[in-house]
Amino acid sequence: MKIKYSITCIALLLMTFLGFAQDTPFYETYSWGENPQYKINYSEEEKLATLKHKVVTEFVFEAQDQLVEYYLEHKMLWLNSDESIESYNKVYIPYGASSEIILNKARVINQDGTVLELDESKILEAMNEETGRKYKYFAFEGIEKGSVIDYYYVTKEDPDYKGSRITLQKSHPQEKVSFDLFAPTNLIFDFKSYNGLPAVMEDTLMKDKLHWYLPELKIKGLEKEETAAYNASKKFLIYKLDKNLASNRVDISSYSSTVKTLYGFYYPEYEKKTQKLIDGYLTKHLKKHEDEQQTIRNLENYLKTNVFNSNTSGKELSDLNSVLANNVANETGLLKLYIALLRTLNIKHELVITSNRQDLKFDANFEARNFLTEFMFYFPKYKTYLSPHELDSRYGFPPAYFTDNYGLFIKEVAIGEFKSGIGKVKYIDAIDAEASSDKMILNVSFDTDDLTKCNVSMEKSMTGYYAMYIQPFMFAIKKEDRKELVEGIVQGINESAVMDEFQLLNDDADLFGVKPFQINVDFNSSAFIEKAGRKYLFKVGELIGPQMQIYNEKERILPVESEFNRSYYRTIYVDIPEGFNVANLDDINIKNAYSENGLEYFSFHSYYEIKGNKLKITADEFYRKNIVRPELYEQYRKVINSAADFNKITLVLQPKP
Amino acid sequence: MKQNIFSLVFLGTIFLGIISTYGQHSSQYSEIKEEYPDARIVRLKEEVEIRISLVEDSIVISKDYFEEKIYLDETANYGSKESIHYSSFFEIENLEASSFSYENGKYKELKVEEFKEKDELNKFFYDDNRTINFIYPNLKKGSKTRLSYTENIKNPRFLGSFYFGDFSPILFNQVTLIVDEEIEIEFIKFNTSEINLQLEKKHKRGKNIYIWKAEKVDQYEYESKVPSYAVVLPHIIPKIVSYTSNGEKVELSKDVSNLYDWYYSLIKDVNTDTSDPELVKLVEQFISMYDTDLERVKAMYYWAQQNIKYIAFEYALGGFVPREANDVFKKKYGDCKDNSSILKEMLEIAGLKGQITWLGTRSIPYTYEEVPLPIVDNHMILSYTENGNTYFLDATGRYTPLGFPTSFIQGKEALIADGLGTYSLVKVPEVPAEKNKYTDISNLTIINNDLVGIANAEVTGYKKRNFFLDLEDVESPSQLKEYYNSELRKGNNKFLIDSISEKNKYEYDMNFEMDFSYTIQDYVKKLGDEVYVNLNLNKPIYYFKIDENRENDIDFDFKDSYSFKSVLQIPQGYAVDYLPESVLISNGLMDFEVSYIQEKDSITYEHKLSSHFLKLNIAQQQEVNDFIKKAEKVYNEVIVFKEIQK
Repeated sequence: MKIKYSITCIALLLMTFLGFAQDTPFYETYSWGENPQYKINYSEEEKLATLKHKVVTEFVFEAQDQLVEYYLEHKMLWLNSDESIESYNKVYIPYGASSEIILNKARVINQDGTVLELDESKILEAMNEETGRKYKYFAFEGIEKGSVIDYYYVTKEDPDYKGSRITLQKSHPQEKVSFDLFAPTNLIFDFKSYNGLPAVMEDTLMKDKLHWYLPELKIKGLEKEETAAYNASKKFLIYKLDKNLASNRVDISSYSSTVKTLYGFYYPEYEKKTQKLIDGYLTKHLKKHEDEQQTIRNLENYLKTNVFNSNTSGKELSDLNSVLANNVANETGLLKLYIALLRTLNIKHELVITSNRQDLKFDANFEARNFLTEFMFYFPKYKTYLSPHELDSRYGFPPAYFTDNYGLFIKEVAIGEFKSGIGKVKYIDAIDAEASSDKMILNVSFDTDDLTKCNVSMEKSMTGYYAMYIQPFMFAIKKEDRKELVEGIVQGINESAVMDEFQLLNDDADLFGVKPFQINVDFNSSAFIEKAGRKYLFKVGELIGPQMQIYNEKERILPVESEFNRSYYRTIYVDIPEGFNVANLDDINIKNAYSENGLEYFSFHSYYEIKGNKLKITADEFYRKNIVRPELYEQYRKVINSAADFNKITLVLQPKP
Repeated sequence: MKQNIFSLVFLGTIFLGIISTYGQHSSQYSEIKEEYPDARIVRLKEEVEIRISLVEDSIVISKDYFEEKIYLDETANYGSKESIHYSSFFEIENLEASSFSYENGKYKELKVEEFKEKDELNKFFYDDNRTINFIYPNLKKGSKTRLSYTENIKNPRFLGSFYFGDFSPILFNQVTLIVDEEIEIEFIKFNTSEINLQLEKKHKRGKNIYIWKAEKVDQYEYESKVPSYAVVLPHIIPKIVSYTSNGEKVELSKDVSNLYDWYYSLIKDVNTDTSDPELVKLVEQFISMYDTDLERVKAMYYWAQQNIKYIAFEYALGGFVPREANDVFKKKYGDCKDNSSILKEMLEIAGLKGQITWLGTRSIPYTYEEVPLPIVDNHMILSYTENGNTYFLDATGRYTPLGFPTSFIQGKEALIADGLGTYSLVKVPEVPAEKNKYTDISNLTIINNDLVGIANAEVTGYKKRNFFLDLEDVESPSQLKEYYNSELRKGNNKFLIDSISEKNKYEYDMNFEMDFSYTIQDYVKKLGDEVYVNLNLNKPIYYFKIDENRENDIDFDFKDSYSFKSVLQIPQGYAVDYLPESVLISNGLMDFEVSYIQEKDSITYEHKLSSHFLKLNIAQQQEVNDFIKKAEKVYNEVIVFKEIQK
């Protein structure tokens, strides 16, 4: 949870709670039952099932009106295969400086009914000073195929009430899945269920505390699918504190207070000493360009190659002065550094916080902290984004899974001398398909002495996300590795291709987003031509490299979620050898596209022109929509498979009559 | 004229640019950068000093380590984090680290202030491995770092090895051993012929001093599929042969017998309790079920593979001492030693003799005689010998049939225990290619432009094991089909399985079989009165292709073989116009064969391929690549059918 660094440490806005009497916490009276009760309702084919998954979280005022959260989780799993045993026979329970494990029990129930309870001495501990995390962990003893593992634990934590997610679906079937939340009578919680999970209900009979719950449910396993936002599609719920009746505070977990906190934390008035350090840092390391976007690119490139992101906790790592001096930071420190530099350079920007849509889709209608995990900057003047934390992302191309998603935008506004932050939830548009392209221009000729050998000269240029993982890092790729990189691309087309000369153009980090990264390479291969008596079969489609083929063996359940919109342009010029012609040119023509409201979403189109012995083949393809509803899956599949069809095109070269 | 002025100005800027760039860096940086333009890091100095002394009859060892590195490019910052490993055998003291950045004409030291400890959880479930972690501040191109610490080595058998080469160049590397004269020490050298490694020996005040020194050692290339870097990098292993205490000579690591005696002392007291009655009952079941000893051994071996899950506890000497069989039986988990322990006990209950066996997996390049020290091995199994045949029972993992060693111990030397003071060294056999075989027989017909097949595939040996391990991870019927569509693929990715049935799935002794029918859409090309089909639907030779620029030996998991046979019905109304030639090539390392036989209504195509190596040196890699070049031409041959004129 990245947000923990940035928010919990600054959540100084702890409300004053008025203590309301509350009974003993739930966990104190909870028992797992001396004689475990369960029934296995599954066939022998099934490898794994959850027989019970109980989550109980409880907020309690303890001494000095201190609010604490007790979290109880009880699981019973039936392990009916070797790999289920191997995946579940070890349990790790993390805790940290602000939490403790107060109860931890585990047992194994074998098919013959014997119960083997784990001795407390077998529970091990580990620590990690870097993250401040500790673990209690153990291995179940005596598991056989068909055994049930049964364990529960209780942690006591600093309360986390501004938005927590409880995921209740797995890839395997589950039963007796339940959720309970208890709170003092003055604390009103709000809930939202997702992906078809029933709504959380209020228990109106309970008197001395508040109780919300989901009764015991049966939940089917969610099968994994290719290119899907699997985790985001599981059934889950979110809870958050909404009102405190004792202090008449409402909207406690709303973004307005978050925005205020974050703005105050990340946009302070700098002390003179700090401002001097910032100015010094800028003079020393960064040049201001006339083109503001170039200044942003330089700044990002500099920070991403020179400031080490340690990803650990530590005071120094998030202290701006120390980050400026040592070039070592954690995510909080890095964010402060970016903001300090952008502010000092007077570059207008907004701070954006969003989620990774593969894991969780930002819900624009339910404000909760657990959506706020990923930071970006938005530059309104250019409508562009920058990700300060992702090392392999660059200006204009933020991590694609953070886009095509809502986000909270925090904008600085000034009224006279007074400055403050204003938050607004807006959609983060995906980057256009045209901006991420892979373009190939191939010139093919046949060896005059041996027609089974062809010589290819290729110009491959990449932009956007296709260039992002290479172009900004070319400085780090040494001579031999450059050759290997190109060789990898050539052999990706055909494993027996032999590379000749090559040249790399625009191999400069500062050119990313400005000019395409280009590889010019010559290669030859005998793999593209098969001899069939007096004729030659020229597998021209293979020149674009292997293409994905999707089968429709099973009904698509989840929407397709691609990483980014993209386009491919390929032009192949073929010198048809003297004395031959092509018998089946029409095989080249393929066209499949899908449009909605006049907008083409996906398309594949290949065609040819021929002049004398010069054949020109064009194959263009694009995907302008990342998220595809299951109803459109068939259309999408057709376009994807068109490229795979193109890849199989074989031209028959026959001697001229 | 104008142009000239422009270019002059331009040149001038570049020139100034160069000057100012150099001004940012030290002269040391410039010199080293010029000598090693492609290195990211150069190790300026690596110095180790080891003091081995005899204190009150026991050997005390401490080691001082010092290193200094310089960073030559913009990737410097990526290496900011450093971790130092230690465990109960190796204590770390006096750890100091600094980075030096070059500013205003001189290096400025920044000391690392924060060191953070961490239990390492990813290697074993529970062990005493910990790390000390820290970050070098302000690392950038031209920076230097310095690191030093003292390590107390608690057991004289764990002196370790000392490397004189690395993946970055080393300018100066020195290992000094200061040894009390009562202690006899020897050195074993590996891969040192390519470097200039010098030894200087001195005697001073009752101590023998050995100074090993190497200068300007070039960087080694990092590549995948290298058995281990101990095979490639130059290093020495010191061993304490013996020491004299109270006038008596005590042998410590003179030869294999010393190592064995120590190992034996660690296992001799294991399993002295009465066997768990439940375990006895289980073994008795196997005895009553099977008539021969070998069948019983097999049943117990398979039981252990299936029922004892791998969880490793490696705390202190716990890394060397097997746990009690009764305990392993109760917990149903353990590591290789625990598996060996329970199997030994089970055999004993059945009145059979199992022998504890140590060995190094293929990642360790030493023999016991060369290196009679614990670093020679990393694995324990149980051996069972009957009628002169030794069976190597490695119950860690699943699906290893009796008679097969696990693939990663093939060809290695096994140290087999036979009671106090008695042991033998036996070579584990390498499994021949024919035993790891994929066989596929297809009946093919052409329907429109599709190639339609009905096939039976059979898999044996390590290949079968790989199939089973993959299949275990399959979660749903649709995933299973996906798996087979890619694993059994023929022709191209239009290959689609229509139906499949499995036989002997997860069986240890029988071949795994798959009966399946499939279609490869549009695989057949028709033009005018001709039909073209390429029957090379599988091209396994490409698995063996090796990067031409490779610098190191390459390792393969096992010797491998394939056999594909397809019987294609000649399409009705067509006759064979062209049938490719049959080809057989062989070079001692590989055999390759493709044949076509025309029968009345069909063509029988066969393709066989086998590899007979576990490892290839550079020359052999070239041979294999040349072989592939010859063979792949055969894959481009197409059968032509011509319509029969009426």
